[in-house]
Amino acid sequence: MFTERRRSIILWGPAGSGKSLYLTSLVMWLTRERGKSALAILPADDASATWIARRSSPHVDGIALTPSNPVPGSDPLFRIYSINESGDATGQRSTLVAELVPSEATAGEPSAARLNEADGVILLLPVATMAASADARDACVTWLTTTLARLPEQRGAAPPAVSIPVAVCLTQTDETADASRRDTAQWLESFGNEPIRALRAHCARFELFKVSSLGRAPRRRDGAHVLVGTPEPRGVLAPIRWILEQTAAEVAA
Amino acid sequence: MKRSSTRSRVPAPPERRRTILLWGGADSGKSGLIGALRSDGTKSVGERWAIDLDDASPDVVAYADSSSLALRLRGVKETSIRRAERAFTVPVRRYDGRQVTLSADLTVLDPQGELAADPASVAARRTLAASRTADAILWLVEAPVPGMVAAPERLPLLRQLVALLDAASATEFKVPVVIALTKIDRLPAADMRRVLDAPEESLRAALGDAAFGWLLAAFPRLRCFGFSAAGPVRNAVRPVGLTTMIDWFAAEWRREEQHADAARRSARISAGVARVRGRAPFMATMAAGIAIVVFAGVAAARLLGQRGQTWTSSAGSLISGAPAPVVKRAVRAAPAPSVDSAAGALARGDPIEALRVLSALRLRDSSAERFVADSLLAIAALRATESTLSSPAPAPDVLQMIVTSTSEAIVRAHPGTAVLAPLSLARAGACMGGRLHCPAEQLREDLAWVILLGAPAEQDQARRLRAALVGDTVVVQ
Repeated sequence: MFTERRRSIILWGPAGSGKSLYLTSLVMWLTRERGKSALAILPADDASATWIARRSSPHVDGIALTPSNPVPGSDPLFRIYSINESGDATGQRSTLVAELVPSEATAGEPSAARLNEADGVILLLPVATMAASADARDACVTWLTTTLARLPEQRGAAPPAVSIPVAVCLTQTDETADASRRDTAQWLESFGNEPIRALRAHCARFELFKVSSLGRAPRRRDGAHVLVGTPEPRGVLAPIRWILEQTAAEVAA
Repeated sequence: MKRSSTRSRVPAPPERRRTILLWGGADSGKSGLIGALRSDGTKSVGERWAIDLDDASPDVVAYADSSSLALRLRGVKETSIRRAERAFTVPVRRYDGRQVTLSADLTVLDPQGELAADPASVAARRTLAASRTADAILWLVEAPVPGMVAAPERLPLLRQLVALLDAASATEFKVPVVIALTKIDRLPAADMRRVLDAPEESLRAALGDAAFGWLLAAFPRLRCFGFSAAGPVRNAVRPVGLTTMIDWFAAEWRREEQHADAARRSARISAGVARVRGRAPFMATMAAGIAIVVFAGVAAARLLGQRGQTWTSSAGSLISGAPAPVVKRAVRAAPAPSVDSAAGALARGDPIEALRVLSALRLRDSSAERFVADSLLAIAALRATESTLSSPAPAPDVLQMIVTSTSEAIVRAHPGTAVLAPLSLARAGACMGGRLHCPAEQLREDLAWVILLGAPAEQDQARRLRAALVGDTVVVQ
């Protein structure tokens, strides 16, 4: 009997942090990961599907990335399904486990109600952009700290009072040559102590992730950003899995 | 071509007639499938599925005949296929020799592949809504042929999938779904064998992991097949994979029925145990349910945006527009919440008060009192739904209370127990009649439980509500 509230995960990031590319990688470019629980992501409506599909186009060398535009009409919504290739006891091979709600930092910040109902928040920080300019770094750090301050706090709880799981994802990691060797926390701290301090001050449960939506850095060709070959996203499902595990553990407890 | 009307036919089997929805884009092989089913209709030996055109319209007959002819003359003479312009449904029957052993309906939603090209259009959405009531989906995808046919494009596939789910107001289809890789006779023999042996891996290779994941997500009961309408023999139609595909649907339906039977048996056993315990007026609940569940017509009418006053609740006939008399309830001192006080309120004809009392009770879930209270709650919820919906201005707070209290009782009830039927019916009626924006999945499940476990009168009401929910015509009996 369906009685459980549908779980939702909010995807949040400043402009240019890679939200649409991250969503595109989740929907279009996921590959099978041996030994890990499989997930599939589906847009909930045609507008979301076409929005995602327009983020890239075929190119003679691979795919060309096109700038994202706002979704026409309603807010985009995506659904996350857990996949069981061989089927469960009843023969079902998939289950809807959560909804993924992307939110523009400027245009459509998630309402307090939506945040209160969320079971997790994914925050994107574009490390290449932050490393390239002090202004961008300051803007992103400010965005992160103000965003953390907006997360719903557990009433009466001692700090850190934000109890929902917060996954902080460093995006654009493919533009750094030694990304795979870098420690995620140290990478974030390279932009100053403020982000980590803010996370520790506000969030009872947070985790840092390195994410590459494409797997490799795109190159500039014919006036467009082109990814040579096919995308091979890295780490894109890890924050979602972590939030789902946190929620499952909470339910079990 | 000889029509199949001369074939011996057996009376319709007693079980429910199932519907297979055929879907696929342009050139996906829909006409080939229809042609193969038509060609197999002319045979008199072997196990096979064949299309029955006895009651088909001329355009459907022309479509099937020209498709069959095109299959036979492939590579010899270019034959145009006269595709039907609109969606149609025809029976398909399984033959063992001349004997019909099974029947189903085949609904071809988009014979010309126009809707698949623009699945988000209003026309497509209207047509795709038929998927809500389908018992199976057969989705055709043209198998890629190196150097000839490219792999299926992923965006059109994604848009079709999303449109199908959207039109059905569903997050997944729980019916069996076949994705068939078609026209595999054009592949080299070794590749054709590979598709037949491992169709799922072939489909995954053609679509990629992500797109294959979409299909698994939307279709939890997915199975892949390789299919050739023409078959590998030149100048003959020897379909490969056709019988196996449709047989799999039939096997899945049998499995569903076995599960439903097991659930019914379990419910009967639970009811028997309850009677033996003598702790709860369970049969009274059921009897009361039969007597009072007469609100489905009103709920359906309200859901459909019609004036509730123009519908009677049970017979569906028109009544006068005069407002129903408002029953004034005497103001009473609030009784101390107990099962007895709830039973008293119910006996006085005040099911809403009874429901309030029962909702306020704090009892252990495993206690006998809780069992009795929930049985009473089922009666009270049904009566409260009926009385609220029959008033000229149904009180939304009361309907919300019905939804809340029945939801809590439903969570407490053991799966498959018969008390779920009146509880689910009351909740569905309140949700729909009150337009409370309850989750569609919850509504469908509620009505499914009532149809599965309810008394005949309750089942009838649930069918009426379900018809309104899926947008069918509400059958007036």
